[in-house]
Amino acid sequence: MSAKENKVLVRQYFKEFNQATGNPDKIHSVCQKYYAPSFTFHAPSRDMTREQIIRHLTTKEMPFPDATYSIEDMLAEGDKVAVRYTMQGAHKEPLRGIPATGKKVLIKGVAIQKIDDGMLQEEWVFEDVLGAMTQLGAIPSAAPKK
Amino acid sequence: MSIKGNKELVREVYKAFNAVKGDAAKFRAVYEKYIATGYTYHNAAMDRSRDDFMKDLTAFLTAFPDTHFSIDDMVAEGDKVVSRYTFEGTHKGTFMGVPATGKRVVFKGVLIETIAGGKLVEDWEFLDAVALMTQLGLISAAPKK
Repeated sequence: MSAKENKVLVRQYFKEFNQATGNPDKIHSVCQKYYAPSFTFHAPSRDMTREQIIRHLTTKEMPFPDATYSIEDMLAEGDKVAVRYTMQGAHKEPLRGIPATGKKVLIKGVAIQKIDDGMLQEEWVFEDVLGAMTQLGAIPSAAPKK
Repeated sequence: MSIKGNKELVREVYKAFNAVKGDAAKFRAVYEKYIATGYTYHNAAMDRSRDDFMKDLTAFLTAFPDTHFSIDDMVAEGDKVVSRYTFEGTHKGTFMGVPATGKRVVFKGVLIETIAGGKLVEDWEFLDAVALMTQLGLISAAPKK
């Protein structure tokens, strides 16, 4: 698949995920469609198997179960696509021990996907968890004064 | 510049900042060489001007004088390069209000760099701030969830 085709695939993946959001069964179907059998998900400090990430996205492990994702920028080369995105969602399940507040957060992140055979083989995600915690009032803002 | 040239430049910039080793003059020289006049820096929380980011980066490299960034992967297209990196360094100076702990700190991040005229004109950076702050003792480790 060309880099251009990979970008189309990733746009479609984001679109279908957003359409499924809030509905665990639909999210599950999207994951089944896009995640290769040996799919590995890399969070900055933790790797997750295909089963683990699907569970994370479709159960109370997901702090923002109705999150929607907007693509801000995208580039692709070879078998990889990099996406800078914005996520919006309501805090409906615990996040790092912070009980659900119902507050809406808007956080930024980057996702890099490795694609082969029309499916995601690996994904690396850097999402602003600290920003989410700050918006939920758990951490005073660390921004410099100015 | 070609995509290949852009990736080479990014490798060169990482290497140059790794070589600073807490030396203020070296840092200024590297910053002048690679950071364009109209440069802007963005991370998840804030946007910073060239001058303000220079202060931020000075503070960081002073606190971690043996800073070493290694590139784990790169994706490049047009005038942009995305690099995933691993940072390693020893906490030897006050950072984010935390006095030197002597701890070895490791975290991962990603940089999206826009290049023009052989310099960086805009950066977006996302790093594992939770890992950094946990290692500095500013946040407690994640509860079992």
